[in-house]
Amino acid sequence: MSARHRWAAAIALAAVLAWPLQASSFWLGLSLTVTTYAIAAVGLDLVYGYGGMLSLGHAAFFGIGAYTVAIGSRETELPGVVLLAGACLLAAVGALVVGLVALRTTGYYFSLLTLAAALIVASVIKGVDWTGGPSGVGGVDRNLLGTGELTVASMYVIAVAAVLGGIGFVRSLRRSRQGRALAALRVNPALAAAVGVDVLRLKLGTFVLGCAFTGLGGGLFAQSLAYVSPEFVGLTQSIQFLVMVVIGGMATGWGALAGAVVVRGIPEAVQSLRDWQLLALGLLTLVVLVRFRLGVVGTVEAWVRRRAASVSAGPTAARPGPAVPTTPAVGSDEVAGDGSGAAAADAGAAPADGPWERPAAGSAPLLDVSGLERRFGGVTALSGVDLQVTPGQIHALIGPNGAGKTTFINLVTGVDRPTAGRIRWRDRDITREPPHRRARLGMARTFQLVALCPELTVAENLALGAYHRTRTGVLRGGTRLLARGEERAVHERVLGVLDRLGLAHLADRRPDEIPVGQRRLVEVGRALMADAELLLLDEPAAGLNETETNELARLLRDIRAEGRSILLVEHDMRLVMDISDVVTVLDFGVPLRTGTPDEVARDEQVVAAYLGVEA
Amino acid sequence: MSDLLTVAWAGLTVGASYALVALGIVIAQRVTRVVNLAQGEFSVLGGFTTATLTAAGWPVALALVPAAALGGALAAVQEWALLRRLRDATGPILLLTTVALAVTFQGAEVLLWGRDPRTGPVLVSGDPVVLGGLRMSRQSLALVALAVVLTLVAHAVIDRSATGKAMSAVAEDPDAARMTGIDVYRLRLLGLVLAGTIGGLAGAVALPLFLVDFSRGLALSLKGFVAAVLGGSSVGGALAGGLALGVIEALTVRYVSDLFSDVATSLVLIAVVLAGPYVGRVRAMVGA
Amino acid sequence: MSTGLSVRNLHVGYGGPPVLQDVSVDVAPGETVALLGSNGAGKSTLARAVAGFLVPQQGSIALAGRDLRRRPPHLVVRDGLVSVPEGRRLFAGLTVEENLRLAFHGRPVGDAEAERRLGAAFDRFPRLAERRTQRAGTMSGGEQQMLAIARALVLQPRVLVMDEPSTGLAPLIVQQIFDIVGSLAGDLGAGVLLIEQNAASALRISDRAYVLERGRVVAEGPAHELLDDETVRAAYLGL
Repeated sequence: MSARHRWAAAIALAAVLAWPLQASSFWLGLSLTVTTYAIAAVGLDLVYGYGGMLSLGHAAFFGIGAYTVAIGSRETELPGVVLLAGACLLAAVGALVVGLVALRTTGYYFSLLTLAAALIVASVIKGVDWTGGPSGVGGVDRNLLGTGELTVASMYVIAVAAVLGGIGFVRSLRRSRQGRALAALRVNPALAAAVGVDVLRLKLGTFVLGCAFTGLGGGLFAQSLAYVSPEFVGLTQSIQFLVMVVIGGMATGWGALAGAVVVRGIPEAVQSLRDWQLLALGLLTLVVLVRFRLGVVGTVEAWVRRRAASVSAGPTAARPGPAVPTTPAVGSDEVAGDGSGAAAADAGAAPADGPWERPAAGSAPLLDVSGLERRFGGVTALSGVDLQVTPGQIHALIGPNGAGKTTFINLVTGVDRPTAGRIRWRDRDITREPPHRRARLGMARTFQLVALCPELTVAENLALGAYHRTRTGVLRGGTRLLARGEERAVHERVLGVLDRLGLAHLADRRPDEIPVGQRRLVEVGRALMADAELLLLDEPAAGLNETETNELARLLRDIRAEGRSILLVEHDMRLVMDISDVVTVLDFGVPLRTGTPDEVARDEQVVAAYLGVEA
Repeated sequence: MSDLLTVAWAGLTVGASYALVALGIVIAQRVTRVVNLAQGEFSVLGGFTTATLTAAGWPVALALVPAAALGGALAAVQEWALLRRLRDATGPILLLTTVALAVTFQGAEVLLWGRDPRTGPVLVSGDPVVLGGLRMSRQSLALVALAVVLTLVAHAVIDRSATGKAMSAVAEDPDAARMTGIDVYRLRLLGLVLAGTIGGLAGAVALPLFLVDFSRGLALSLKGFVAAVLGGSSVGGALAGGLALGVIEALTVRYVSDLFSDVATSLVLIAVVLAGPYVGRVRAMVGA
Repeated sequence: MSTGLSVRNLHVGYGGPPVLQDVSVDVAPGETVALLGSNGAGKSTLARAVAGFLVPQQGSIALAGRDLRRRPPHLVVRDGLVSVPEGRRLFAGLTVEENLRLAFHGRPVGDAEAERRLGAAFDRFPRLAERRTQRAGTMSGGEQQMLAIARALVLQPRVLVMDEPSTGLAPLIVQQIFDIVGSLAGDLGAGVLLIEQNAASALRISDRAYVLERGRVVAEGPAHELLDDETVRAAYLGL
């Protein structure tokens, strides 16, 4: 979208948002109500659209916010803003309690537990006296600042500011460090953990924040309507919020506003259709789910993106990508560009004061695995595996399909737990450490089935690798200005790694738009972004042609020359024999032999079992 | 004592209706892996259908047939028009689809039958059966009996028959099932139709005992789900879980407050989910 | 018209760029054909395509002259193209016999015929007969692979596609399984397409072979010729 289009869109939006201010009081009041619903829906978009957590009980947090303001207004003389802050806080506390229980589970259990929690909240509100029981609480004032009642128009302006702020927040978040982590989390929790994301914590934080924002919507809703009643806390209300987000478009921010207009605005405006409302909403949601999964705003965005891509595709396609990656030689400071670009041009050698440091040299084993065993039911996938990786070594792990190589990587990175044995990192026992802590110690992996986020560009997928090297949290990520410096450093490093891989021309493509071989390189690049001391590569050469494999070999040697270590699981024997310092042969989960490539190639047992030359 | 018995029987009666919803959810989940939150609507629609037909002069026993058929037919439509098309979708999307379908059914119910609750005549009339100090209406006995009979039928089909084995193969690994020559979609359809038919029939028999209205379906689905989880998501467990949940609820209503029946359901779900891992561990140790 | 499997100029992909390009493979009745190549070469994609799980972008797949494009997988099986999937994919909770009997589900196979086929399978694999009532998930890897093959045999294949039967098995067991696979074509008169990474073992029991690399057939010919061809051995087979 060009700058001109952007301005036109902004002006059109401003006109639409300003229109109710000069319309009749009916329209102004309705617009205010719809806007407060939109605020709540933005909160749900953060939880479900961005966080992938399907909450079926979101109205509970809306209700907590609304009742906090209503009861506070009845019982105290506090100004409205304080009550709104209380609404957010109590909704957040409620979300923390629900989240701590529900997020231990996955799949539909999470959804149904949120539903159960919402039923409890609704029953309590209906069942106790100080919430007014079934009749609710009336007479909520709009004395927001303690200066007297605000007009509906002022309330509307405040609500619009809040919803725009919320949308801006979630949209900025999407392009920030935690936004990328959430994208990874949605498609592949193992990937998120592998780049250092504390999955449970990020989910909980996102859930609490989204619910707090929904609480704010509930508080403003109580003030806009001047009363609250249990019907706004019920299951129907929760479902309406979901329908708003789905119809409007998940993970778009704007979708929540569009959805609120469709779901609440239109039925209120056209009262004669009241009996058709449920049927229409249900059918519309089904159509969106089956045919237009992206929703209204998502579909428009995808269209804009495609158009932009087709406009720029001409020159991009015509421009040949560099056939040979411009791999800077190790420690070649002359390759480093000018000033701030230094970190970028030589991705291996960032300034010492930046988030990236050179790995410390040393000859003690970096990774020391002893007696490792993994049984699945009656099947032993690995047993008695002892293996040491020394700094600055390429250690290959080979063996027939199903010999337990990927299981080994899963155990080392913590995705899976061994049934026996020890894993040490330097001198520290990490056998029981969760995967994200291990990533933070300095290990990065690639996946045999390429694991990239389909919604992120190649550049963003690389940036994901820098997750645990950076700090920006959800709050700072959503308010972009505060995170600029770090984001710029990450971006520069991404450019450097892209250059090194020869993928610079693909930076803005999505993974499914590039060939499989290059996707594997992007995964290696993601590991480089983490500046890891140990890279665990699961068949990086699968699907690569000979030239690409040679380039990969060069890249891996360079990485070794920087003092890093590589644990290489690979079937391409020429590559393995070519670049490895040490080779361990696994057979049926048992290590057969460890030695130099030559020793292993000459070992008769190995030859018989694996290399398979005729006996 | 007789008060407790009366409450317990009321709980078993309402529990039988939960058990039948749970049974439908378990069967549908067995073949599609989807928790069908539209299952409760099949019962509601069965109830409404029976109410309309009996009001038009149909005998109750005859009205059961279209009520059951409607449930089965709508479940078939659900599989054919939604679940099959969304087979590659993620769990949350599938769950949401069943919720959206429930809302769609609710909308249709509002249009066709309005917002007021309906009731209908009993299938089995006559004096209550008295056993000790406990008086049981014949209709409530009929509902409990229906739950038991349908559970036995489902057990025979799902757990014992060759078709049931094929269904469990479909649930475990659909692609491998297809490589064995099994028509996966036919079995999914069969499972859904079975679930929908049970739902419709249950709604028809429950009609005179509990009022039916358009908003009842989703609540029923939730109770059915909790009952299924409580029973370990098996056919027999659905019956046990449903009856247990009904009794827990009835006791809550009688001795705490009638506003807290949903709280009881929710607490049961939370307790089961939190205890789940431990139960799993115990089961693994016992080797069950 | 070929009486076996005939794949002509096949292009297959998953929405993105094609994974298989212009692949042609033939398997005649009674012959064992190896399909070799490294991980990611496209072997499993070919297996999925002929089994009916992927719709070709271009090209044809035919079994005994019958067009198999767009034919759903369970009907492909009934037409006589039966696959033994990689990783065996048995139904772990069902017993050995129940796994085998699934093959008769929804098909007009009479009781007598069903018993005859089961008997034949148990005769071929006496180990399975001993374990008739054992749950499949509790058996060893080799026994599971035998059961996977037996399950395919009771489906009476004209062409049998074996996807990486050696995966996850100990060397000794791999040899046994290869011996079994090698005997199938002759015994049944069916064609066998053996998809393998373990080139040497596969070539030993095959009549002909294709080598797949990056989605294309880069070499084909009689198995012993490929085995003796130094260039092919070095470049593609890792021998």
